[in-house]
Amino acid sequence: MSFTRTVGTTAVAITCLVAVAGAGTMFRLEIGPPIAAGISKSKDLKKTDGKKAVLAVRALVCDDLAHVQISGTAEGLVNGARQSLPLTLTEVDRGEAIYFIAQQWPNEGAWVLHLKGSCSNPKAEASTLVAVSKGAFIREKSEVLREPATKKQVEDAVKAVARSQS
Amino acid sequence: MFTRHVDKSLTRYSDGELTAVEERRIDDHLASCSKCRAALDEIQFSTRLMRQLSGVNAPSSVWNGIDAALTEWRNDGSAYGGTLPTGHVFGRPLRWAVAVALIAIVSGGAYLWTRETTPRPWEVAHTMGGARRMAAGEWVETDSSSKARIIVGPLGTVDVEPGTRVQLGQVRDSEYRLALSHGTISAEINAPPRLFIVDTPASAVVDLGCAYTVTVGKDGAGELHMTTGWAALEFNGRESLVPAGAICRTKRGTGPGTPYFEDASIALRQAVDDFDSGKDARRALEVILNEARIRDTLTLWHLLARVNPSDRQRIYDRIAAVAPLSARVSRDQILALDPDALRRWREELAWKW
Repeated sequence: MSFTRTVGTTAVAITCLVAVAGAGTMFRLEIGPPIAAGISKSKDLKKTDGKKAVLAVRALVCDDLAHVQISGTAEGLVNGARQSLPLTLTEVDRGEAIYFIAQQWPNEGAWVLHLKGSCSNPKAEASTLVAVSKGAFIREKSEVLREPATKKQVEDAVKAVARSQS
Repeated sequence: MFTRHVDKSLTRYSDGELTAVEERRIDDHLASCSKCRAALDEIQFSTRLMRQLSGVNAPSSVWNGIDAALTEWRNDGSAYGGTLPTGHVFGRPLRWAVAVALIAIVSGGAYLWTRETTPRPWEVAHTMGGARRMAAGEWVETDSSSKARIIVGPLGTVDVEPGTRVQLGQVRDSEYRLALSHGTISAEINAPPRLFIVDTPASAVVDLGCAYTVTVGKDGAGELHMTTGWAALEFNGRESLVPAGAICRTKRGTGPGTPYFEDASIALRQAVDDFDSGKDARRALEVILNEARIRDTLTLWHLLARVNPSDRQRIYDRIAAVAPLSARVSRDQILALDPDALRRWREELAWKW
């Protein structure tokens, strides 16, 4: 009995360790300030209006970065009413799957950006929920997920931002 | 009382031909003299304009005409009284085309020059006295209970807090400039990088896309708080990049200090201040290395170029421990302070800031 328990505990521990180690090597979307994408010093700014960039996003751990698909929506709660707006992502470096996102949602209310990405090789999907406020993103309240976010996760994230603002 | 202007040295200053001491003297003077800044602007603008001019090859028909005329002249110079036969070289239509092109170039240049150098007014609204237009060189001053708002053309606004003195600089398509003597201003700018600059006695705050607050004390020392985007503090070739959520202090004579995030530990923040002021810098560096989180690679990255080679190696090791080096840069490049490698590493580290 004791031996079975030891083996079981060891198996669980190994599984956890593998999962933790693997988390860093799985396809995911990373967010950062616009400075990370180097766009603020770019001469292309006049064309891309990068000055309004709130954040940059890039895909990591994908063998075919040039064909990564990234899209997103702004999910908000304004005066108690739930809103969802499609986001336009501006390409910074398609080959490296780096984009920036300018503010496209109202200043009023609580907003979370729901970013979705897919990699074709290896086939994988990931998402990131980014809390935004006053033209900036809040890293501490953002979640990087190694899978598509569920509807509940999105709703919880919006509610959490709304609560923190009230 | 008496100001010795530096306009005679500005061309050499602009071309980088002065010694470091002379440059520093001119930097100090420029920080407080709008007249010399305006003169420097004009020199730099002319230089930019000249660089934009490109050489144009004359059509082969012109060269053929010149060759033929020279040959004819050499063979029988007396036929034209020893002078070149202009009427034979340029046909009437070509002569008109050249004349029109010359007039167009001169007019275009004059238009651009006038557009850039014609002074335009600032719009300033005082909480106590309504709005009015003010010229470059004028001062906006608030007392302990009043505020003002400066409209930075189409770029944004600058709020002038109580007890502040700001001088309005030149307004051009290529640059909007203010000089903050003392007090606090909050800027919210939406424009391409380097279009809006605030000079302080210790450094220039160069907007790279942002909102920020800058405070200058009576001693000329300043503090920059970034709200969104990022800005650069520049003085005499020394630069600190300050992203949203970070602070950077600056002192007269030494320029920008080392930036750090406002949410860094108190020990780290105190250590950065000590390091910048040279107060037990060795111990301060130990504290910074021990306290640094992944986000504090902002501070560590700036220190790379501000320490001796052995300390640089320790800082490099600390950054690499929390944020491994990307394949795009090598350890040797970083330790040699290769500017391109440092920039690439900064961009990589910034994903964690």
